[in-house]
Amino acid sequence: MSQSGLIALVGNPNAGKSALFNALTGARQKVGNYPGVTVERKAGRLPLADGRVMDIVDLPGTYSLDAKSPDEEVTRNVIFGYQEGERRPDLLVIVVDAANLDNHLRFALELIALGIPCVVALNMVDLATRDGLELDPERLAADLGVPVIPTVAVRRRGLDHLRESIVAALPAHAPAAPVRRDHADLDEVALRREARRIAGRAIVRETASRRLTGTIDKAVLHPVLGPVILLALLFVMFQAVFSWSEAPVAWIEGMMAALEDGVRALLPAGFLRDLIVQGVIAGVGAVVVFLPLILILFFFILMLEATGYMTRAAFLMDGLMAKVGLSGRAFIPLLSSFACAVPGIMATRTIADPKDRLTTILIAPLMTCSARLPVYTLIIAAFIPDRTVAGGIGLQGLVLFALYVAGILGALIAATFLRYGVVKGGGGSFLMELPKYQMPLWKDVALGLWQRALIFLKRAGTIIFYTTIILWLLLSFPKPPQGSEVRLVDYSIAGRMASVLEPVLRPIGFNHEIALALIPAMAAREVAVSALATANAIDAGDEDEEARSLGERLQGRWSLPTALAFLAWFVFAPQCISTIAVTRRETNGWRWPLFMVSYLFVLAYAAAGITYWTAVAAGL
Amino acid sequence: MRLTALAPNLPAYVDNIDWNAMSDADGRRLRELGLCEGASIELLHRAGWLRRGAHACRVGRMIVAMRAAHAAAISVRTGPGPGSGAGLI
Repeated sequence: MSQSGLIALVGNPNAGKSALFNALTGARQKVGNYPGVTVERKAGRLPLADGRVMDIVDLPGTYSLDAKSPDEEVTRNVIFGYQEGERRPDLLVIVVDAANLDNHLRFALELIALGIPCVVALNMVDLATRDGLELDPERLAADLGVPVIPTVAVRRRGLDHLRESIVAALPAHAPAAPVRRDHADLDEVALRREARRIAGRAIVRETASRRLTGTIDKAVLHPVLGPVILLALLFVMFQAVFSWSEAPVAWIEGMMAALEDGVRALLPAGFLRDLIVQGVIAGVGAVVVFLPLILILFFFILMLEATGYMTRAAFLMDGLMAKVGLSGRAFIPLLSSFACAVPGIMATRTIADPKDRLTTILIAPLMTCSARLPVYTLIIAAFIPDRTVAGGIGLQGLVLFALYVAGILGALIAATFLRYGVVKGGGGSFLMELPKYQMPLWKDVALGLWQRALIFLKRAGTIIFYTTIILWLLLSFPKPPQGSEVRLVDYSIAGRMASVLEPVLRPIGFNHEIALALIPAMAAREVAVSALATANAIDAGDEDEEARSLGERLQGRWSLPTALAFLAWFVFAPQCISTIAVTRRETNGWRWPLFMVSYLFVLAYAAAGITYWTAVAAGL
Repeated sequence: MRLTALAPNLPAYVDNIDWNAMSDADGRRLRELGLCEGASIELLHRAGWLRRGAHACRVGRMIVAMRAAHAAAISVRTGPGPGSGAGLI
């Protein structure tokens, strides 16, 4: 860790800290974890006018120093200098929402009382003006005894002034010794009263104004219209994943084909060429083509978060969450798990009740994560006709939507059993602030997508790359004796391993090829696709056969009931090492991850079996 | 009257909160969200039917969502209240 000074951004949730952090650091930021806990550490570098370059961290939002959840504990520990692997900050930038001063000032007063040099960023002044508030930052600064800088982080306004104030307030320019403030010893009630008094003095004028948030909420939170809008949004999201991605997926496929041709032209036939063409390009390439789909999904989730809609969705879903014994707050980590269960499980740190949190962790893998998309889209494209049904709705998109719904229903049923069984006790609760609606800043959305693309490509370049190469080797050796009619994929080490598993999976309609794909897919679900691609590339008799798409080849070999059972399997199967690892870390042991893996595999087997037997009985 | 019985969009203020009807942690979070005796409050939305769903209220300048059980623990009186703006203690 660098030894330059440290600045911490701190404040209430929804004060705009992350937007300010993005505005101050741009792309110069690093997202990681605090040691020992899975609370995300967002750090960056902040060059100052006097030549110093400071480290800057964006701390989780909290309402007070009296921590209630794991992420709030990190904020408190960093501020007091107790957090492992983090220095005590040299300066605090206290971010307050200009339109919500009396509430945010209570925590600001608590922080100022610590005596650490600080600057207050009076953020979102534009929204305060929109709400009819006129504020006097100078009077506020005089009352608080620290500099107050009006900012609009999402529009990059006030940042130069904020940097200048940071330079002036840093220890090299101002007395470093902590200075106790007058209100340092005030109790909770007195602190609130003081916050109200100061906020009241800072408000110059308060006029009636257009209430954009109220107008939107009238529709979005309506008991009937609200759930319809939510369902429609989710439906559009899943349709878009398919329809918007067609062109970019075709471009990537074209690039992969050109790369393959290039390698064939460059290298003579043999081990190395087969390894690159059948192993790396067929395997890793089969996963990389899904990047556009994953980015479209993340785009929607980032937009829902940035606009302020995500908490409204939690509000609408709370009734359902309460029925299955969960906190309404659990909806946000669960919705995030549609992108990836790992950040979803990490996001459960905002749930204070340990049993609510544990239940949410245990059902998070049932949300359809983006790693399932390669599996789903491959099978759907191969086996479900590309036609529209009633109302111009695409049948393929509809099947994908049904798979998402199956995951949600599975999660709700699992939560009910868990809450009345192994995770009994504790009461779900739902207390949260609904932030004002905002237009997201496209630069921040683009930055978020860029970070997700890098994570996905890094995963493709490491875990998927290595498992694909190992699988290719296991699939390619030993070679069957000359003249033997046994296929290489059956004779190889991987083929023999699959033969051991196959009898267990045969009753639910799975064949040798699926058994073979499921073994390496324990590392990550999308490896199932690369495994199928690699096995098929090896198994292809000639280049014409090799040129056929993976979907076309599967179509010829799998029955429709088998394909549907394969989809049902992946709705439940916990095939992701990263999810298991993060669950172990979050629950401090192996007990719960082992329980999670066991119950999900039982569900996967049952779901695939029921699907297969029903489809066969229906004559499909 | 209880907050659950308050008509939507009617200005009111918090008369009393039964802190024993909720956990200490929830009570503290309610206070951190600005809910305390004297705070101005306005019921904005109810999720679902039969007043059992979550309630969204304006508390000062903030919108706070809570379950019906918490809303039932909050007694309110209609009118602008003893102080304007958010919580008055």
